[in-house]
Formats: sequence, structure tokens, C-alpha cells
Amino acid sequence: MKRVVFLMLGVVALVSICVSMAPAFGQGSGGGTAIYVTKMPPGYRDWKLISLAHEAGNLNSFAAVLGNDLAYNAFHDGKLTYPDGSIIAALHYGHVPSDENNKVFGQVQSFVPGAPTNTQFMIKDSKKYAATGGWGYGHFNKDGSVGNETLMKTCAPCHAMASRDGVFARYAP
Amino acid sequence: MKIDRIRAVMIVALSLCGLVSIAFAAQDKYTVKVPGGLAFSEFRGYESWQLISISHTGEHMAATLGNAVTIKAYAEGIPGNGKTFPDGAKMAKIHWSTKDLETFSGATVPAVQHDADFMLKDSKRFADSGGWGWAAFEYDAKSDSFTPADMTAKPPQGNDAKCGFACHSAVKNRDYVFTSYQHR
Repeated sequence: MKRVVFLMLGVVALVSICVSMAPAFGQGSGGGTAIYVTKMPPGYRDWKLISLAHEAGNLNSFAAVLGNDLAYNAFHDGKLTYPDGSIIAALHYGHVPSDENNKVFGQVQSFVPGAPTNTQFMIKDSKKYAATGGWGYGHFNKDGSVGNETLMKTCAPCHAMASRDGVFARYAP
Repeated sequence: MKIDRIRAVMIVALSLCGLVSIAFAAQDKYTVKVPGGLAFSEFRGYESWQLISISHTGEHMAATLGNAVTIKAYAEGIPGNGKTFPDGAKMAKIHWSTKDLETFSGATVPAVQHDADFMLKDSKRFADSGGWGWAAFEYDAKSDSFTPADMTAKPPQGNDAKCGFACHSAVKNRDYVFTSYQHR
């Protein structure tokens, strides 16, 4: 009886380790031609919040990362890999000081989103986007035009370095 | 083999212990209330409200979220159109400390939650503070628990729902709301 319990615990431990390592194997080029996202998913502005990010330097960008229900639930529950149908949206703005808020604070300390710069998407479809790690990447400039081929080619190689199924963002605790 | 087995059991046992202690330690935040003011439970479900905007102030990053009544009001042009938010509008502002994203250099992202602040429109209940009630709850990550902010906090919070009234009066012409909806 004891043996069986030991074995069961061992199996549970092994399965957890395998599950946690799975995304590492799921990545990389699956062959085939890279396909990009060329249409904005409808309704994305109303999706739930996953996290924020500020990128300093030349970009000086401020972003909100939103997810559809499939992506949000996976982020929230810490589940990897992301199921097919998951969509992550990054809404990029400039990172600008707020005169109105700083007046109230009495010093320059408050930054808010400035003009929109671009909107980016990751859509999970392990078959359709097999060549780019199961994720389809989309980049839309502020005028709605799609990112050019040269830019789009840079998405997958960079995201392949993110250990969590190609996703850099973490759910803000 | 035997040692491996013992190790495996110890790992599993330790993780179980961890889980059990988390389960016992976790506070039900919805029981927390500002004395004489708003209760956390009046904002139940705020974690999955929709995003109004984001901000970055001093050492903290924040997201401002709104319930359905609030998002609909913003979509109609409130408060820029001179109209006021309807009763039932609720907003939540969540502040986090920040950190560099380990996996992507140059990016600053939320680290640990610092507080959760709320405002709720009820023109009768809060007739003497512009129709809005405010509440601020500070978060302690170690104990995973919220406590009402007090007079030592910034801004100070007394035993009422007026902690935001003084500051937000600066934008009385926007129905006491600083945050603009970020359109896309």
C-alpha cells in the first residue's frame, strides 16, 4: 500500500515537472511559411487587463496588455501553454507627463498614456502559425496600416526567447 | 532509488504544506471595510473590470478599471461632455511597485501590488462630497492582506468616504474624475 502511495506521489511530481517544462519543447520553428495577423481582432479594447509595461529609451512607450477570455484565464491561473484561440493585445502609447496631475501633486511625477503609437497582437493557433511557435503576430500602426515584412520577421525570433510559451508579459499580481 | 523516492515525497509534502498554509493565511479581502466609510465588498469583481487607462507616478504604476456603468458613461463622452457619471458608476485604481522585466531589458512592469483605491457614485449617499465616495486599501504582500489606509497614508484617510474629495476637487469640472478613457 505504502509503495503505491509513493509511486503515485512520484507520478504526480513527474507530471508537474513535465507540464512546467512543456513550453520549452513547444517552441521554435515548426517549419512552413510564416503567416502574420493582418486583421485586428474585434472588441479587443474591452478585454481584461493582464499587465502594464513602460519601455524607456528611444521607445519611451507605455503599454497596456489585454487578453481575451482564453488568454486572460491562462494568465490568471498561470497555465502553460496558452490554448488555441488565446489572443493577447498590447496597446502602445507614448509615455508623457500629465500637467493636470502634476499640478495637484506639486511636482513632476505623474506619467500617463500619450498619443497611441501602435497596437500589437499575438494569436495562438498551433496549426496555422506552426512556423512561428504557434503564435501569429500582428502589428498595426496608428493609422491602422499593418507592419512591414521586415518588422514582422523580428517578432517570432525575439518572443522565442521568452520561456513562458513565447510570452514576455506576466499577469500583474 | 530509495533516496530518490524519499526526495520526491519530501518535495510533494513540502509543496502541500505550502499550499495548506497559504489557504489558512489568505484573508477574505471582501470583509475589509473603512470604519465609517466604504467596504471592499462594494467593489466585488473589480479585478476583471475593463480598462479605462494606465498611469505611472513616482515609484508606482497603476491601472484604472471601471464597472460596466462607468465604461458605458465614458463611451457616451462623460465627463468631457459636461455630463456627470450616473449613480452606480464604480472605478478601481490598482497601484503596483515596479521592477525591470527580467526577460526583456529596458522594460518596466508591475512588481508587487501596493494598494487598491476605489470611488463609487451615489449622489444621495455622498451628497456632501460631489456625489462620490472614496476608499483606499493598502496591500501587504507578506501577509497577503488589505487594511484600510489611515491618517498617516498619502492621501490621509479618516473614518469616512471622503479621502479623495480634496484632491479630486481640482477636477470638479470633470465630475471629480482625473482619468480619461484611452480610446482605441
